[in-house]
Amino acid sequence: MSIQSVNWVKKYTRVFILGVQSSMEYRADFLLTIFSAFVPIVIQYFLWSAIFNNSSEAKVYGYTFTQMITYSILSGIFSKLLATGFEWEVASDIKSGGLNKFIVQPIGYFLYRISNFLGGKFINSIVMMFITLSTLVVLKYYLRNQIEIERIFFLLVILFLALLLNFLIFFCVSTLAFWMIEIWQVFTILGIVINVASGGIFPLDIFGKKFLRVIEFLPFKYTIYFPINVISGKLNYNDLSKGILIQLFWVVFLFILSNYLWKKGMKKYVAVGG
Amino acid sequence: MNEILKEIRKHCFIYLLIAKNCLIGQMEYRFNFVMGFFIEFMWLFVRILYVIVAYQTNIVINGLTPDAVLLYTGTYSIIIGVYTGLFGHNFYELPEHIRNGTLDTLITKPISLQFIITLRNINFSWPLSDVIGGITMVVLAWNRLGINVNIINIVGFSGLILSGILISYSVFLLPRIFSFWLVKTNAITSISEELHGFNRMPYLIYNKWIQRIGIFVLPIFLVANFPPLFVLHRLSYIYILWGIVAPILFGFIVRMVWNAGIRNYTSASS
Repeated sequence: MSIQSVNWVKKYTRVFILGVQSSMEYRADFLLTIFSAFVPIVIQYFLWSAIFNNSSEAKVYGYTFTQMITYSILSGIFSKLLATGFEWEVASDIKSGGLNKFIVQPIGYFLYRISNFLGGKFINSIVMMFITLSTLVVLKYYLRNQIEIERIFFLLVILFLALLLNFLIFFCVSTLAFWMIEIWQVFTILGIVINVASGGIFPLDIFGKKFLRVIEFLPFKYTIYFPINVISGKLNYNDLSKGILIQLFWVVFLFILSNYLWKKGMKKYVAVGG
Repeated sequence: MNEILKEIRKHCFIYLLIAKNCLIGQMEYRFNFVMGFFIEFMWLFVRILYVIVAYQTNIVINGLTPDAVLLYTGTYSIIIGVYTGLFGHNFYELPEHIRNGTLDTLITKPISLQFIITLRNINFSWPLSDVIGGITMVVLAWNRLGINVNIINIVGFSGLILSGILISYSVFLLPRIFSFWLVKTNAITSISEELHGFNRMPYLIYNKWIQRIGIFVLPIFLVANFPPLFVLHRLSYIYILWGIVAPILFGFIVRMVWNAGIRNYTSASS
C-alpha cells in the first residue's frame, strides 16, 4: 500500500473512533433509546394479542401470532438501530458555514460523515444485536417460533447493508438544506414518511397488495421490513438472495445520487460566516 | 376575594394579549404555518393507521368495536391537538430556560411565574389538523355507534375532554419540572414523550396493572379514555368522579412540585 492510502485509512479510522467515543459519552441517552424502543413494543404486543384472540383465522395479514410479535419487537429494535440524526448536523453545517473547514482541509465530507455515523453505531449495534439474539432465542423456545438460527448470519449482512442504505437515504435528504432555508419541518415530515414506508410502525402488508407493488420499487422497505421477514422465516432463500441483490443495487444507486446531489448543492453553497 | 378576582381578570387579559401576539407573529411566517400543519398531519396519519388496522382486523377490545376505537382516536386527537397548541412548546422550552438562566427575566415580571412560563406561547398551526381530523372522526364514530345526541352525552363528553386537557397539562409538565434539580433532562423528556404513545389505543387493551398505574398513579390514560367510555356507558360513577377530581388533585401536586423547584433555581450563568 502506498503512503497515501495508509494515511487515507488512518484518517477515516480516526473519525470512526471519534464516532465510537462520542456515542460512549452519552450512555444514559443510549440506555434511554433502548427504553424508548420498548414502549411501542408493549403497545403492539397488546394490540396484536387482542387482534389474534378475537380472530377466527390463524393468520392475520399473512402473519402467524408469533411472526407478528417477532415483527413488532424487531421493528422497534431495528428502527432505533438504524435511526440517523446526522441530517440535522449536515443542515447546520450548510446553513452556518461549517462546511468551510472541510473545503480547505484534505478530508471528504461524505467519507467523514459515513465514518462518523458507523462509528457512532458501532457499540450500539453490538448491544442491539445482543438484545436481538436474546429476543430470538426467547421467541424460538418460549413462543416456539420457527426461527432458523443459521439465518442470523444473513441477518448480520442484511442489517449492515440496511444501515448503509438508511445512511444514504438520509444523506440525500440532508442535501435539501442547500436549496431550502427552513429545513427542520421537512426533515420531520420525511422522517415519519420514511419510517412508515420502511415498515417501522406496521408491517407493510397492512397497506394492501397494490401498495406493496409500488413500494417494491423504492429503497425503504429494504431497511426494516426486509431484514425482519428474513429472520422471521417469511421469506425463502430465493427471495432472500434476491433481496440482498436489490439492497446492493440501492446502495450503489443512492451512493451515486448522493454524490451528484452534493456536487450540485456545493455550487449553491455560499460559505456563510467564512 | 376581590384581590383574587382582580388577579384572575389580569391573567385572562394578559392571556388574550398573548394569543393575539402569537397569531400576528405566526401569520408573518406563513410557510412555517403551513409546514407546522403538515407535521401534525403526519402524526395524525400515524394515529389513523392504528384505526385502519382496527377496522381491517375487526378488533374487539374488551367489548369495544372498531367504531369505538375510531371514537377514541378522534377524542385523543382533539385533546393532543389542544395540548400541542397551548402547552407543548412552552413545556419543551422549560428545561432550556432553567439551564441557560433565562428564567431570570421572567421571574421579575409582576405575574405568576408558572403562568407566564407554561402558557406564553400559543401555536395556531399545529392543532389545526389534529382538531379538525379529531372532530371529523368523533362525528363519524358517534353516528356509526348510534349514540344519542342529548344534553347529558354532550355535556359529559365535552366536560371530560376539558378534564383530559387539564390532566395533560399536569402529566406532561411534571417530568419537565424535575429539570430544576437535574439540569440535563433529555432522559426524562424523551420518556414523557414516549408515554404519549401509550394513548394510541384505548387503555382497555392493556393488562390490569398497566391500567391501574395509568389511571391512578401517573394518570396518562385519563387524557383521552374517559370521554368515549362515558358516551358508551362504560364508565362507572367512581371513574366519572375520578375524572373530575384528578385534574384538580394533579394540578395541586404540580403546583407544589413547581414551588419546590423554584426554590432550587440557581440562575445559572448569571
